[in-house]
Amino acid sequence: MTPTRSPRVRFEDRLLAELKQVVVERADLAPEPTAEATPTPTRPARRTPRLAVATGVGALGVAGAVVLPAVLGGTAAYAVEANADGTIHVEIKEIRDAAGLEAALEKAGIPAEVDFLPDGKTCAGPRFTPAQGGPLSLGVHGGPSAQALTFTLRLGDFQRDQTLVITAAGQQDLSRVDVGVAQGPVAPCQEVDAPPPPPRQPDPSSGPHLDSGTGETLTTEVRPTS
Amino acid sequence: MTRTSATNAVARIGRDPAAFEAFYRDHVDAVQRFVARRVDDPHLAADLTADVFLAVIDSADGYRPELGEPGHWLFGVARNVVAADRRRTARGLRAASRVAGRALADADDIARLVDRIDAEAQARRLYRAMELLADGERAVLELVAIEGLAVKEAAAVLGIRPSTARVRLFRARRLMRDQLTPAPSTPDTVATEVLS
Repeated sequence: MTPTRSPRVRFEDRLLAELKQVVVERADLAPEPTAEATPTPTRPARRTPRLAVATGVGALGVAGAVVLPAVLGGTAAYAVEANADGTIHVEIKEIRDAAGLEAALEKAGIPAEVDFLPDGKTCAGPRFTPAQGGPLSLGVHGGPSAQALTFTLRLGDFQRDQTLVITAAGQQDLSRVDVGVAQGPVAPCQEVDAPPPPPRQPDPSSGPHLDSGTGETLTTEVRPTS
Repeated sequence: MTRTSATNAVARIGRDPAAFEAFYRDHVDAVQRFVARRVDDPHLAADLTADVFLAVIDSADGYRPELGEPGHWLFGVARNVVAADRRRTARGLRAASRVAGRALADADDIARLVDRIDAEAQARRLYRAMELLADGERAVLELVAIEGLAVKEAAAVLGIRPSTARVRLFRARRLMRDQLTPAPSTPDTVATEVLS
């Protein structure tokens, strides 16, 4: 297992060996079916590897603490789990109980504003200033699967005055859930009629649009890369 | 098509040891340099190098081409890992990591890390001076001035529009000009570059 590229095994080689072990354990515990056959656009749900970490304690012999996720709140509709490394795993399975999800997130230490709107309704206007940088590239990520929208946040990356904003508007569909991070206050959702939904675009990265600060909102459309 | 294949290669990192190894070997130097530009403790540098790659493993399936090419996306990940560690440290916390980098570094490794850290003294000085900037402005300046990304690339990493990035960069440079006095003893390449 130890690379022997050079006579002296260096830090970089030892680190590589440890990290590969982590990757192997992830793969063992959550095998991806036919990874090569089809470059499948739907990413595997984030939940699998995390659960695997939780249940695979006995198998882990590598250095470092294994941290069990603490379930902070969850129902059939959603789950919020905190790991001691500062990551929070969020899973939305059904578009209901916005207040419960919001409370569970806040219990996890994430100021949140969750609005699930009825069919054909959306929130009026821009409600907040999107936060810049951070949360997207560092861990607000995830993707849709048939059953759930999942994403992972790093508690340490939320700064003062930042709020996680989750909105389902237009349609009762997990793929229409918008996740963003607001800098500063978030205006309450003023319900208005939603425009008719745009035609679906089959796209590899289609999924909930994780708003990283462009000020754009909603939906599964892919932001043009400029 | 290279974009797609790059995306697929990154997406496999989290579960394919060979894909991870290829990515690691391509980028471990850049990550160590990145860390050395920000921290001056070799043990912490070893920890953070491990943490950055752990974060890569965890977030590889969230990689999308819009976030820039994989090497640039990695800067975004590294940036957040280092920033999160600083915030934790400020609160007196140090998270337990799955792989403790410092435990893997022997005396020779530490000496090499110290050399690397010494070589990046100027960049670290700039990085510290940037603490006075607002987060959004600092993020752009960091990637452009310290890591040498083009403005457009930095914008992609941060998920903002290039025009927004340019405005922030301008603002950041103006603020930095007031804050940063050139060190008399060292060739002030980075600083002058930033301020020009």
